[in-house]
Amino acid sequence: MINLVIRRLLAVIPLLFLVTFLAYGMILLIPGDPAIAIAGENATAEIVEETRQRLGLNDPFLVQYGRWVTGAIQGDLGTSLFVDRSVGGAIAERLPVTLALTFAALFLATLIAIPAGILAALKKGTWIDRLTTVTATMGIAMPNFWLGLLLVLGFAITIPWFPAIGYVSFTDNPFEWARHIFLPAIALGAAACAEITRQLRSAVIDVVQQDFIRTARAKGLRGPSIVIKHTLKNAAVPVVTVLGLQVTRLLGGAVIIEQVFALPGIGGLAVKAVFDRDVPMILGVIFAASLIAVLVNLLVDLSYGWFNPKVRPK
Amino acid sequence: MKFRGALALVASASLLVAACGGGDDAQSPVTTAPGGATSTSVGTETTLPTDDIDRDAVLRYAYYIALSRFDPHLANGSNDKPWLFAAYDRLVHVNSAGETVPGLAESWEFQEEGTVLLLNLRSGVVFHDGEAFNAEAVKANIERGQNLEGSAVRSSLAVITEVEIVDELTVRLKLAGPNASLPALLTTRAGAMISPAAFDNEDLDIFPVGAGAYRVVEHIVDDRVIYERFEDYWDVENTMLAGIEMVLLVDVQTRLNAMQTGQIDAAELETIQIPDIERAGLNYKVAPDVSFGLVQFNSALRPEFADPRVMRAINHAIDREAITEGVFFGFARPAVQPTPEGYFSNNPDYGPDYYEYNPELAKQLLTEAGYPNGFSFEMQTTTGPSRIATTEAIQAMLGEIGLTVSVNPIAGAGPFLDNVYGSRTAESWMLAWGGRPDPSITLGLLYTEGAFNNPGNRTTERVTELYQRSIRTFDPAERTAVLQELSAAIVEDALDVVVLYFPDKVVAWNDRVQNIDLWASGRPELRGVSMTKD
Repeated sequence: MINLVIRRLLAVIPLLFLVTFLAYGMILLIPGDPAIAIAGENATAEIVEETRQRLGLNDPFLVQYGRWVTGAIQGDLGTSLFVDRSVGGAIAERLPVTLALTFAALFLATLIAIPAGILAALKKGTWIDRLTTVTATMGIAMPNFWLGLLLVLGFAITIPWFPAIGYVSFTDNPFEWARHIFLPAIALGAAACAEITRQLRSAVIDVVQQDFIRTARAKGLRGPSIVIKHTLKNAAVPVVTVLGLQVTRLLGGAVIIEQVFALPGIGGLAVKAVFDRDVPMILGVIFAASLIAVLVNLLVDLSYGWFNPKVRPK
Repeated sequence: MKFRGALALVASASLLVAACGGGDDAQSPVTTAPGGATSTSVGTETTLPTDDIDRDAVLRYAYYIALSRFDPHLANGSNDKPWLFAAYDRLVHVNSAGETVPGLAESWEFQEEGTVLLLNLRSGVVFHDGEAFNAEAVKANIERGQNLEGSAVRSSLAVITEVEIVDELTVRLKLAGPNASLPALLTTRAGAMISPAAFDNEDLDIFPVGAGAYRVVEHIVDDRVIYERFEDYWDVENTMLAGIEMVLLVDVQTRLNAMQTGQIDAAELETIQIPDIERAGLNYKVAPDVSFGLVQFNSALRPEFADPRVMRAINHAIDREAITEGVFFGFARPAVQPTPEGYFSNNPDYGPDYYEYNPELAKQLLTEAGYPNGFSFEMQTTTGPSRIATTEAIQAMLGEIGLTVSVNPIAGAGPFLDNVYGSRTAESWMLAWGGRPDPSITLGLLYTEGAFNNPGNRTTERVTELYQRSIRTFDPAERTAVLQELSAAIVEDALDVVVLYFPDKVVAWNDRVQNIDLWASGRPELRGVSMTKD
């Protein structure tokens, strides 16, 4: 087990190299030059060129990337081209908001999806099942920013239960934190909730048709015990896989939801960095996002062993 | 339609009044335009007696573009100004009509045929760190702006060759040549004064040390800045707000939502939201500023555009009103001059009809120029919906006269600006010009030889001569006449910039907010704003 974790963590290193290298290449493919923006609005061609020299933007691709990697290995993700501010610091300041939003969305999604998925599977073919399936399809089809705007209109403007914008840190005021994160989390998590519901429904339907469930029933076990102890644990593997995929998807979706609800997360930082072509900042955000994605996948893989002892590494 | 017409009329009337009225900033002439209160806004706009003003109120104001950095010499975004100027006072102020008015310099005077600008500084001014503001501080700031590595104001200050201290409160700026735009340039970041004792502060980008009406008490980068009134400010009696909470809200719908839920008191919104603003019972005002939409052609890459007949043909082929109606739903003014109607440099004899929409005449002009079958070229723009819609409309209109345009939207302002003004690889482009504090600056950048924003390098002798006169004429009335003549010459000579429209801007506020305004400079300032008691 420990060996597996160490092996997987070591495999992360070349992966991060590859991801950042590709990202770097892609940034350079975008035409344009941050030096023009940095030099100011009444700049002359000479000042622009001088800015380019100062920031090392005239150096060859590999030299620029090499410089970044050397810093990154030493734990220094560089400084923004635009503000005298460390990339690591900016990310550390904003990542907690995005993580809180992502996990709140995932938590709400799972909270609704688990009972809904089980119920739909057990009542397969009834109106409950059809209603759940239709709602889930709608949840997947609805763009999250649009749902966000509808939620603001309904529950912030018309019925003023929740604020329309802003964020309060959990440590400052847990109640206000929950109030501020609730609508964005619903908007972001709706599609994930729908996806998990559908996965869980089909997994449970699959499992309840297995022989061991029939045996359990024949032994006289009660419904809830069959569902929780036998069915759910076996149906969990595909669901957890989807859950892992959802985390990366939610991180991506958070970029838009953060704009709709004005949350100071990593999304705004990423969008601004891309538009400004603030290379160190873009790489820093990609680095952080890749790291999260890899760690979540590792957790998912490890959970397989817990749900199903047969796949535990020896 | 009728409503829009009325709005347009009232708003242009307000701009006219604004441009003509001297006025101080606290009670801007724009808001007192006749009829303005009833047509452009709901609710009250009258100035209340001081008893009703809540000097403990904090204004929650939303702005839509992030601050690049708080060091005014390094800040590179022209939209940084609302964030910067609450904390940094400048040598010269600009009022909401776009005219220069006294700031940290109580008065100024050009001497020695315009090669010296004498500044008489205000006495008793202190910076937020308690240091005194004086001639030494002015000299230190100008020299820092000129020499600091990465300075974004160096080109604005390049005209100053020496700062000479006459006495504690008098400085003489020796200039490389006469430059009547300099006082206007000193209303921008180039004229912002940092406490010299704070020049080397490591956190100057986070916590500014200026002499402005408000000092920063909290700054969450790219999210919000909390300002509180600086009790030692030289004009503290007229600084009515106890503080400002300036919040970054990029999305326009989010700004309106926040106003509807009462989380924000005032914000700039978009004209398309006016029905929603009215439904929400908010007050608002509509007016254009010095920013405008244009199409520019690089005649260095495509010599066809160096022929004035081709440029006249293009001017006549574009139906500006169709664009302002179709793309902006009437909330933009068609124009052929690079400054808005009513603004002091605008020549009233050259209305939008100077180049009337006439495709037949356009075709004839193209034939005279030797292109009876037209030609094809690429037009770049950024990816904003209104930019693409405008560019596609122009593509269709130019198609009518045989010019085949391929539209190429470029994602991101940086790459786009590099193509058009940096590497200068674009053949033609549609963009929104942000406007500058003085018309000579805009006209110089777009229409004179060797200017950064004139990649085609096309100009005429007459335009060059009038431009030179505009920066050498110091009497306001005479200078206005020169600028108007220059505006006329630019239109007549059909240079490679085709002006399209001036879009309307909207500011909205709730019932507690007073004296908030749209600024002709296009950069909102909150000086003079107050709030009533709850």
